[in-house]
Amino acid sequence: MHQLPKLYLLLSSLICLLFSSCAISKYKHSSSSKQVVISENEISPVISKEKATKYKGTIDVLKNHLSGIVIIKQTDSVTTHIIFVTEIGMKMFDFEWKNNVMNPIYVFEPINKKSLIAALSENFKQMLLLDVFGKHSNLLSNQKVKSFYSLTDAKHRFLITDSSKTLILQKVFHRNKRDRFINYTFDAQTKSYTQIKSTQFGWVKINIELNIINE
Amino acid sequence: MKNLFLLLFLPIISLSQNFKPVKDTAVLKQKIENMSKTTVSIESDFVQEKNLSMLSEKIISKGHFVFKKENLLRWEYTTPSKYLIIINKEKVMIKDEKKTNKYDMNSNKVFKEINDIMLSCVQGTIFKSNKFKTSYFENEKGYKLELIPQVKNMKETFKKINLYFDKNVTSVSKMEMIENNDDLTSLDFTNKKLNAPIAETIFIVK
Repeated sequence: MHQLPKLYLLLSSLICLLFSSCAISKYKHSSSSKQVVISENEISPVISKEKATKYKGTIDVLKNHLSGIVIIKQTDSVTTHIIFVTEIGMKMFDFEWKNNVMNPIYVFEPINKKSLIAALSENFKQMLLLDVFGKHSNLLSNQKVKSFYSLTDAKHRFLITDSSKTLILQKVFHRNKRDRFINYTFDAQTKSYTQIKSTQFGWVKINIELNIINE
Repeated sequence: MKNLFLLLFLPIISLSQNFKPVKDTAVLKQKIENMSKTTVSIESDFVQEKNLSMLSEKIISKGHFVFKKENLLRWEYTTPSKYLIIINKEKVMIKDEKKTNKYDMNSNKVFKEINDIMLSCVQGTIFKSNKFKTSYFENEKGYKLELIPQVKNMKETFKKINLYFDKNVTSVSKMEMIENNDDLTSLDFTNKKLNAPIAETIFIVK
């Protein structure tokens, strides 16, 4: 009888392994491949060069829930700010992406924890495609996924686009295990991403949801 | 052309806001004290404007608030998104479009601090707090209280809080919070109803 928990553990581990392997295997094989440098012609960017984009944002880290407004603005050709302000007007953080490095310019003291800031920086960097444009990548296609870009550095990262070159999904794997999945909803009329939902897996689960504010 | 217009008219705009130090602060303090004592409830619409200085961007939110003595506050945003804060004595409920969270004021130092500021600002009694150094100003339209934080955690966030009263000192008409990086949050109160009967059911934390 006391063997049962061990058996369940073994079975669940096997199922997890099966799922995570299956997930990445979908992108490991391709029927066509082309080397490209990712530009705005390849993937519609999230950040507008002309104006600030405002999203209603929620961040869930473990049992903590934060909601507010996220402002994303490119201030010059190499600098972008991501600012999170709560509904009552308190600034929670101001991250600056400059010369391909994310720096926390301001963090509200009660949430100023090194690991949290690192995790949020990484999430926003990937969600907003800050580190994507100008990178060398392979544009791939297979029977299951019609069009996806593969970026491989420390992690395996796949950007899945639709026929009109808008991003619909981003999947990040670390050592073949799912690390972060980001879903995108694009509005062809306004040419903007109206919803971006990021789920970070692992021990510290982080969910970030951005819904565009139309002014 | 736009700059020329600003150069010509800016002195006039500034002059109309020209606040001078109040000579008899004891009288003003007494007026605010009386206002606070005689006010048992406040109901008002508000427009909140957050100015992010570095980005030259604004976030404008609108909503409605209801205050009832003692320590009952319903602060509700309707645009750009729905967000509700209810303070019922020691309990706080925060509800956004996705989640409802409840807190005990005494178990959360940050909430206690925010609660103290919100309640004392809507009542105008914040000038009595030893956490701020207060200066008193007036112009032909009303009074302005400038509150400079004196305690460490407040100093880290705010450079200054300004409270505006009309000449009759019936209630707070405007509030400004200036952060250390010069970001400004202003709250303009309109359609105010003072001492109207208010059902306590709207403050229930459930």
